[in-house]
Amino acid sequence: MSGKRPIYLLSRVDKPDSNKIETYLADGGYERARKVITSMEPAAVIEEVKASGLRGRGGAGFPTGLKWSFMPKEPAPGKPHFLAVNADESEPGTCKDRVLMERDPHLLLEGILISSFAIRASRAFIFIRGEYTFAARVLEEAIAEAEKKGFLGRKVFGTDYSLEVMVHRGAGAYICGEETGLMESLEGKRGHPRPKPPFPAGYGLWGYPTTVNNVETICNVPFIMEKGSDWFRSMGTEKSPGNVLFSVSGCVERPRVLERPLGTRVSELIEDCGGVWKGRKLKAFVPGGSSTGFLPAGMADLALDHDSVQKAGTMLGCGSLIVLDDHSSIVTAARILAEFYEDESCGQCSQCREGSGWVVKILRRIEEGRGRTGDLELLESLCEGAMGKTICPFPIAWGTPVLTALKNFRDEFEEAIRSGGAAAERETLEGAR
Amino acid sequence: MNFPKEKIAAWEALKKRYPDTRAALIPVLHQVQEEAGWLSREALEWVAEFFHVPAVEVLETASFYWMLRLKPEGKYRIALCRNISCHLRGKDEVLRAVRDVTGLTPDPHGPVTSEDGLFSLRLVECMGACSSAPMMDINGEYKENLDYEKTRAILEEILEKEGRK
Ligand SMILES: Cc1cc2nc3c(=O)[nH]c(=O)nc-3n(C[C@H](O)[C@H](O)[C@H](O)COP(=O)(O)O)c2cc1C
Ligand code: SF4
Ligand code: FES
Repeated sequence: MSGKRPIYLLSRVDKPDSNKIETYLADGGYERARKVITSMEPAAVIEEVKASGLRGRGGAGFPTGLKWSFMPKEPAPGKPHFLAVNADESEPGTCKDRVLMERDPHLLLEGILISSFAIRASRAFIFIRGEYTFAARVLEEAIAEAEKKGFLGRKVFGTDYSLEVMVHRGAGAYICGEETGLMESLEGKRGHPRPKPPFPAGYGLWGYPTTVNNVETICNVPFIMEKGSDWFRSMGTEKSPGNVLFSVSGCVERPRVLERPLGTRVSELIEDCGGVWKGRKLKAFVPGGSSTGFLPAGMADLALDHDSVQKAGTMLGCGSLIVLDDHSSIVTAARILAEFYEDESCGQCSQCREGSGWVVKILRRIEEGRGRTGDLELLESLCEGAMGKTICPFPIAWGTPVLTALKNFRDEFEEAIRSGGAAAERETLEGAR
Repeated sequence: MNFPKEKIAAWEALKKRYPDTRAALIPVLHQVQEEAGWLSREALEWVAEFFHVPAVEVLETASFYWMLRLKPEGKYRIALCRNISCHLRGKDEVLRAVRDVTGLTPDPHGPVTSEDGLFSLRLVECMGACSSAPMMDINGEYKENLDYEKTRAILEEILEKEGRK
């Protein structure tokens, strides 16, 4: 049955030499960008993407065409427009942009061409997490190939439009995935998020109008321009159209990145990965990457589109499904994520810096059987005290896993407070904190 | 510090590619680190001069990013993912194998290096290889779908290559 599903994003990734420009051209590559840039107006491109209903795949699900329309219509003198491609992919559970960049880099470049043209950007920066050394190399080779053909650089396809594309490697810090943290980091500083407003479309990289889009978002664009917004809307749901890449990881037989329509059910994705591993039972799942929290097995028929997941009390995030079987401890899982967020808080806001640290301390003592009465309420108040009150939404990312774990698996925390967990084992292996 | 002329020329060119030269700071730090092995005080001072910014600013930036190494590490740097998907699929087994071959136990506050300087180990956060977990990275190369045996074999191959076995 999986053979009948229309696949486009991943349609090339398993072909031999899929990263080379020759194979890309043989598959009709760059024709869409050529057609758009030689025959269309930028405003018409924005209209088509708006009509498609494409929503960002980087986490927030913001409508892409609408975001583009916030850019000034024409670059003011001395005020160039920039596109920043978010290839930071650091949300635990997420590994889909990497597949696109390593195995179909020209698709991303063609998407960048069309997107940049739409917002009248003269430069595009691919901000890629430093750990992705291989993907960065593949992209650099692809850029060189495309420049040689005249698809990138000065006078693209012989028109007056010029676009310079550059790969910029980060150096390892999750917060640089947040769009203003990304811009600070790209400018050569600590990745400290900026207060908003001003928004990037008005004041972005070096103060110039900038649009930030995720890799997968941009990879959808060539297909929308080729096949039209109606085709795009024939997949997914009314408010979340199109296919999406689901990174499935954790306790399934065959973890993988799957391309499926938005609105695909959790149970179906698990099935397509061979089911829960070792013949075990599903206990919990994280619907969209670590920051989207823990939902119980009873909700496995949840449809993964923006609205349905929101109704379930969280967010679709970047479509990263993490599966926990009935042998896994929610207390431990929550502690692992809390430690991650504590490490990655940039430290600018006290509620976030101190709150994330306290959450770790309390979760550790609960896990070790040293929990106290009132700890669960204290955890809740720490999360609620930080969420929505800081420069960037980071506390929502660390608060949601804690709050959902407490809401859906409270017994397990209460039991751990009474009897303790497997903490001694952890310290010999991971070292004492 | 002494860097090859053509490297310095390439870094100068990189500075010019950005609307503001400072944007080349992290890319240049990456490359200086590759040349020098790590970012010593001298290296940071050299970079500061190269960018005409105070050395403390270079340090301030560099210290934010785990990949920029402010201390020397071993010849083979193991970065082992401690995050959730790797944990669920057996990162503890990978840690055990690393410990059994290298004798190293991680320190949550930073990398640890074996006495002979051959291996360093650090726990890192999600590396974007969750569907092929558990994983570790050695000197910038991903090793995925690991288990105890596979991890051992990878490390023992290094020992053999280095004539330690
Ligand atoms: C803490 C935090 C981390 C984020 N990390 C990423 C990331 O790694 N990759 C990404 O594309 N977006 C990430 N985002 C979302 C970006 O801020 C931004 O919304 C997104 O890149 C916009 O692209 P899109 O509209 O195409 O989704 C993160 C947001 C927050 C608050
Ligand atoms: S909320 Fe946290 S991560 Fe965001 S700016 Fe404040 S301290 Fe930094
Ligand atoms: S959790 Fe280990 S690579 Fe993502």
